[in-house]
Amino acid sequence: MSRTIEMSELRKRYGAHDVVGGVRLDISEGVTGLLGPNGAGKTTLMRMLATVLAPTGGHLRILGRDLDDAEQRTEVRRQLGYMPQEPGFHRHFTVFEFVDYVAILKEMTDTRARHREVRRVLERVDLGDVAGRRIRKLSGGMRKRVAMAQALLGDPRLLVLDEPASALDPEQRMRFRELISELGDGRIVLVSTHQTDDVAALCQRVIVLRVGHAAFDGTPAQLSALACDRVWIADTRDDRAQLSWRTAEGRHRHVGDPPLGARLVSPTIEDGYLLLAGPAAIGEELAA
Amino acid sequence: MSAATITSATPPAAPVRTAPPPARAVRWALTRVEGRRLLRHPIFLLGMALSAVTLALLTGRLPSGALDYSATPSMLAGDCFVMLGGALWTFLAAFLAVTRDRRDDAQDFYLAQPTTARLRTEAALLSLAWAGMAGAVLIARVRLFWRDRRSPARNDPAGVV
Repeated sequence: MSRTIEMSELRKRYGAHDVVGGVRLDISEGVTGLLGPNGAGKTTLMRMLATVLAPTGGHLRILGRDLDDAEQRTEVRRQLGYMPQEPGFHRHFTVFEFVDYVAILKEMTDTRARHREVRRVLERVDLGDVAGRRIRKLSGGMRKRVAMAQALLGDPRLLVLDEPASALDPEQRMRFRELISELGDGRIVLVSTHQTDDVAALCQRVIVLRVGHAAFDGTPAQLSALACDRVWIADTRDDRAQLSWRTAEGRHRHVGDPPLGARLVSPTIEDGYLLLAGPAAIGEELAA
Repeated sequence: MSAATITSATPPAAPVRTAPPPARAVRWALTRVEGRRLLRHPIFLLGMALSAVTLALLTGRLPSGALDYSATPSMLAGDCFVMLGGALWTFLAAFLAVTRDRRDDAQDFYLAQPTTARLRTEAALLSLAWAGMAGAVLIARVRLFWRDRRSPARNDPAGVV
């Protein structure tokens, strides 16, 4: 069986606006990060990959199956774990009840085996102690973990995680990174995020989306290297920089074409991303 | 909790993948869960309580007697009235259950699952059988309660054999 996602000229249009406009990508096993500014089409792309949203055009094959065919789509769903960006929960369900309900929807019909599986995934996201608590009484970070737990049910071959680490405290983020990193062995894990440090820590491959197109596809090191010799520190803000911001030390970090004599520093993945996303990263593209 | 806790860095084993079960097995599993949730639903419980009170009031007005055939049409009419009221409350609770994914904005969870919306709706409708059974038990209990209270053997010492 194929262990890849194949997209060719994948398109999603709302009215006259192409939210995803002709994306061509092949994604194979391992953790792949999807970066992009707000409105770049990340969530739309993730929802199409999760079979929740039908593309307007182009072709999408997941694990060797064609999503246009209803039976093949169901086959993909049997091997899919999806964590939506802003999951809505049934707040009056307990954590266990909710994950158990999703487990039935994943066709786990044997009660004893299903309950064992629910306990397993809750343990994996450190929610075993609050299994009996109602979801409405959980914090935002805990709800994120409930969403992660249901995505792990049945050990899926494909995991689509839309901003999984947002709303988590630093300790939980570290644990999530470890978990996602483990899950990348032998599976396709696609992680959409705004956090470049998550990408640097987790992903073997990173794709940067910009206005519905893949603007970059490579390793995190290659993304950092884009900003090589283009990041400098100065005491004052330099208007020639593409982007600049004040650091905690009171100095200014600049990304762009450096002036003569500038003190260059080593780029980070964030510098590479900002250079690539450019004005869109700070919302100028939307204004234009 | 025991004092000694065993911890392990190795995560528990994931289940072995097997062939998907038939749709009827999924439908039955969903029906059981939905049925249990329906029986605990506040609106269903309120409907049952109102039905019980109405039934008790109606039964209390009927002539006493262990077997009063002249009262049978009135009893049946009363039962129908109570059951209709109970059914309305039950359908309201079931409607809320069926639409909760939209109300809670949880559709993305459902759309990415192999179980279809049609199967979920079927299970929700089948779960109404639980409510029907609960209603039948309620009517029988109220009837038995009133029959025991008003039987001549209980109220009239002369009736004791």
